[in-house]
Amino acid sequence: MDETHLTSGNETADALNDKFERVKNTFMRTVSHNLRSPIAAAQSCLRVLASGAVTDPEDVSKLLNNALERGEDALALVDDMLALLEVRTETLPPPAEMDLVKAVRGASDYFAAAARNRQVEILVEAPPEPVVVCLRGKMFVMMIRNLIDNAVKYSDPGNKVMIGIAKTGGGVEIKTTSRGLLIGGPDFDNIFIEFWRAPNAKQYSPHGTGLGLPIVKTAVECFGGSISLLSDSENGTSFTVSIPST
Amino acid sequence: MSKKKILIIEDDPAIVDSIAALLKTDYDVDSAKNGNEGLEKVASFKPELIILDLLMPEKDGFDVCKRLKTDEALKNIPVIALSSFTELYGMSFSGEDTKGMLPSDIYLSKPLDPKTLLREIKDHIG
Repeated sequence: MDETHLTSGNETADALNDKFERVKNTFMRTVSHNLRSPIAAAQSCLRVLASGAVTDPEDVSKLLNNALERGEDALALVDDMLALLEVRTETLPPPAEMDLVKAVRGASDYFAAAARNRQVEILVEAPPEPVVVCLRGKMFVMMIRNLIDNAVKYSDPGNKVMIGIAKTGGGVEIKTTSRGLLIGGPDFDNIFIEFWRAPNAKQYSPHGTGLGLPIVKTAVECFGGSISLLSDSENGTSFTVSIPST
Repeated sequence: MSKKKILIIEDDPAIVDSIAALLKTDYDVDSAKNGNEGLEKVASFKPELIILDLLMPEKDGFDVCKRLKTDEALKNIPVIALSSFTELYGMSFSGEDTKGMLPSDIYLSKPLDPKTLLREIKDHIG
């Protein structure tokens, strides 16, 4: 991925322009391929149906559902790209005071049905009183939804997704913990790269854009905070976001 | 008379389902979701034709095809390579125009064209 890293230094304008072109082209190629795959799969299902060669009602139903799902994958990719663009360009509403406990519980409720489908329970451990911080609210919601979405999608059935909110000396810490997909040490550097997915992620969820964690990281950086990851068979996979109170 | 066997090596279940639904009346169809599993099934299922996705996790289609085409016992199994590389559409990899990429028998682009796929299969194994 060297090609995609811009660096600063004493490079000439031409060299920087060349590098920018390469980065832009790599990005466009990646986006095109990632968008083309679900559309081509949906089209394949529909073309086979339209050919009239498939008449078994079960097969017809399966192909229609596959086409719908892959269409939704393409839509999710576009939505995530727009979300990433929004957090990167900071076009979201300006910072305002918000209660993180309420926002996290709201995000947790948002994924309740998905969690039930996966036979996973989401538990929120938070102080009884509001935890008020001045943030871009929509950006925080994008961040916490992506973290919970990942925790649910990559959990083994029968487990709990824990979301902890705690006040710290300098701000607030939010931690999501799940038991299922583990992220190996060599992959720690890759998880925040756009479109990258862990090699074993597809076993848990064939649907994923590889943009969720880049959105999380961009939001955390905008808040002036930090994010850390712990993943091992004993403790599961935990993302900890630290957000300063000022 | 027993049906001819076709193995689909493809990691996208939507593509597998669509090909399997298209072929199951006339052919005995099995599938594998990556290159390693595909090579195992080549040995156990003994297909007469292979439909192979080029981009897959673990061992990809290029590696699988090279492995098949360099094995005396397997090299004559027709391979239909599939991918979303539109720029390679219609390219044959069996002759001088391989560009060092793939000694496969035919290349088809996704999305699938059912008529073309059926015609290619019929041309190769009847």
